[in-house]
Amino acid sequence: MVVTQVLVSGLLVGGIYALVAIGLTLIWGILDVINFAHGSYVMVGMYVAYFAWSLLGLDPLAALPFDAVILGAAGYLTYRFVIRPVMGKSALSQIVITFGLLMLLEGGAEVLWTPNSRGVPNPVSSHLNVHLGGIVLGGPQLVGFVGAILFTLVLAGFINFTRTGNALRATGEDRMGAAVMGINVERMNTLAWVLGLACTGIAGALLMNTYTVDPQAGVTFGLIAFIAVALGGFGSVLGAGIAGLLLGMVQSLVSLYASQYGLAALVGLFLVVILVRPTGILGVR
Amino acid sequence: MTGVGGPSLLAVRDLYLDYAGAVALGGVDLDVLPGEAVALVGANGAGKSSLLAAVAGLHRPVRGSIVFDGHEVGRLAPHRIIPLGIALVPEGRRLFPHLSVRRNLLLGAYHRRSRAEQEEQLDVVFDLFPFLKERLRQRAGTLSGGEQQMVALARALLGRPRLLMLDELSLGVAPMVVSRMFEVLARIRDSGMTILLVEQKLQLAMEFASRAYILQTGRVVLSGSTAELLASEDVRRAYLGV
Ligand SMILES: Nc1ncnc2c1ncn2[C@@H]1O[C@H](COP(=O)(O)OP(=O)(O)OP(=O)(O)O)[C@@H](O)[C@H]1O
Ligand SMILES: [Mg+2]
Repeated sequence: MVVTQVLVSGLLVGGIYALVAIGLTLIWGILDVINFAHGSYVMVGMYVAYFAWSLLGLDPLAALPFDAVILGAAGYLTYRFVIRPVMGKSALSQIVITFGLLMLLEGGAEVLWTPNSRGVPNPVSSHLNVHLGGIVLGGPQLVGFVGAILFTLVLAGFINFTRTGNALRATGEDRMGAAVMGINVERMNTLAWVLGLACTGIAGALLMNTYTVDPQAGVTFGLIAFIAVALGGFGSVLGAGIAGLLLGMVQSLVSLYASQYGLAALVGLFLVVILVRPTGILGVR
Repeated sequence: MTGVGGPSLLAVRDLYLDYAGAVALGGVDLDVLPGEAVALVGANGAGKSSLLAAVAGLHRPVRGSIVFDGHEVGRLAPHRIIPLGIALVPEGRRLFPHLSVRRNLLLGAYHRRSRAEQEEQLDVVFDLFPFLKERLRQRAGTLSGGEQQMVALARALLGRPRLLMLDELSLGVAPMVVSRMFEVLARIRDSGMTILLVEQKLQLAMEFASRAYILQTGRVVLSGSTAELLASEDVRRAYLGV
């Protein structure tokens, strides 16, 4: 029973990991750029939801659409002014620039909003606990999971079944091939960043139902998303989603027996996978 | 205009292109008339691919002009040029390997929004390449080299281009398959399609096209009807090696 409860809780958290990871893999798959600041955007998304509550009295769920739009806009600006100048440059310069973004965002948050952690007390979702057999599904976690999965499905549907989604995938597969089809490759790059960071906005809002936010709050999510992307096969949306769910469960299970080692276990898993099968375990697209 | 009458569908004038200082094209003039099949031949590194890429907008020329059907396209991006009616089958095919054959084909009609038009054109390419029908759901990357090249050709046709540019279709394709591909290509040509063809297999190119340009280190050194070029003993020895 305990194990089931733990696995279910892990799965619920995993939904959010999946959402964050899909945003990362989208950017990675389409632009071949690793966004090391991805977790920091999750942190910004959490602050957006926090301030929507503290300044406007909005529940995190009500703030969710705004959070998606604001982080989507951040994605546009980031691509346009930070990433585009290093497109086609060395991998090192791309790593340095997104790592710089990470420091900028975390440092900025610390200066603007202090290192104190803040939370939203009593969100609407906390009244939605579900009892199922002997298992409790915490309302905030459940809402986070359902929200994350819904948005993931919408995104997957968009990518797989629309004309623009196909163009996006084509751009990820072969930029020159895509250009020759008359696809506006620049616009696809922008779209990948807008969608990828909108994911972090939504994740941020969903997380504020459960977590408190401080300037370092995104670090774990960024790390886990990176691991999920590596496990799922770089650039694979489906793979990152499944890996995100798995990681949530693994972390939760390990934490049950050795509470300090949940995250360490994921990093260990990551190393094993990278050594044994660098294309990811799932390796699907 | 060297011996070419009538309004050109494609007119390249004094075109210069370089890659970070390395000259790829050094003042090229070239015309393709409507309905014509023109071959572009020359040694490795002569600039053939660069010329096709410049016409498609993949590289921005440093000087000169490219006029397609009355539009100056020399400084436009590909997504502005392709919808005007130009298709390029690039060197190395550039398929989308993890996408299905069907999706690859439909992406060829990306700039044509009409669904009905796409379906209609799918039937046209099925007629040319019947094997495609059975392969629609297969990932493009799992096809053989020859099949992939035919998908690339079919994909280019899906956009209903008025100018079809082909870059070394025969590269990495078995000789048997090449001759079958050129049979299909002849049908496309005879239906009135305007074709600009780059091809290493010179005999094949010269038989297929009615005119040819011989490119050498970024310049046109000779041009004329393929019959004339093949008839001249000097030309054959110096440039064609046939
Ligand atoms: N992306 C590039 N960067 C730098 N130089 C390039 C690039 N592409 C081509 N070149 C150079 O430009 C010149 C023309 O190349 P291009 O590919 O157009 O020749 P080609 O006639 O198509 O040759 P091939 O028969 O080998 O395909 C060559 O000297 C080549 O080395
Ligand atoms: Mg070439």
